[in-house]
Amino acid sequence: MSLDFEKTVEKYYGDVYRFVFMMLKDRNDAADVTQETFLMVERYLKNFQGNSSVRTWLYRIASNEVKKFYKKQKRAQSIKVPQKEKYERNYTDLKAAMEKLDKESYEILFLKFFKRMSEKEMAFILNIPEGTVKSRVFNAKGKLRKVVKNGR
Amino acid sequence: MDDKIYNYFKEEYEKVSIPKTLKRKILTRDKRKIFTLAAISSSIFVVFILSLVLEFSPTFDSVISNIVFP
Repeated sequence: MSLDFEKTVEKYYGDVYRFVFMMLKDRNDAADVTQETFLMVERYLKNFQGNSSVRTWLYRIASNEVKKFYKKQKRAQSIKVPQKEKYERNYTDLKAAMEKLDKESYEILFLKFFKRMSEKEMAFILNIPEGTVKSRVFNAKGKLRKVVKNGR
Repeated sequence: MDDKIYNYFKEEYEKVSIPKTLKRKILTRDKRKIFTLAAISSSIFVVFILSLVLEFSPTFDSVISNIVFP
């Protein structure tokens, strides 16, 4: 299966950018990481075997690039929304709790509950066994419940 | 709980606007890389050819004297 780079960019760059932005919560960082993601996509385009969907493959690369970015920037463990990106002040309990979650839990909840991905797909994206996906989802929900219960 | 999580992400996701220049940046970055590589390769080639010419010329002066500027 061969992919055309320009067509891949055309079709998926928005989706990849949104995913990256959801993880980083910063426009400039998200744009940089999206560009890095597509550099990797171009480099490994020939290696794509079609064992997963193109979107899942792109998410895997993007997820790796986000992790590389975190390492580079040595960012804080929890996802915090920068002041300039705050859209509103009246967060509900769940919103506040989501923002207090660690990045790993946030990512897995995003893939599971928003992107409705299967455990197999999530395992591929995050490069972990399916069993670990199940336990991470369970733990992430537990953390979320705990934060909501304890409040801010 | 699951629906609430979905709604949270949906709300946040819909707020994300894609930078207008992003696609162009992704595509031109690739082309810029190719142009840079081509420029470097051609420079190395020119230097190599020039060094060969100088090596096999009887004297440096004769090479210089044969160069005709427009």
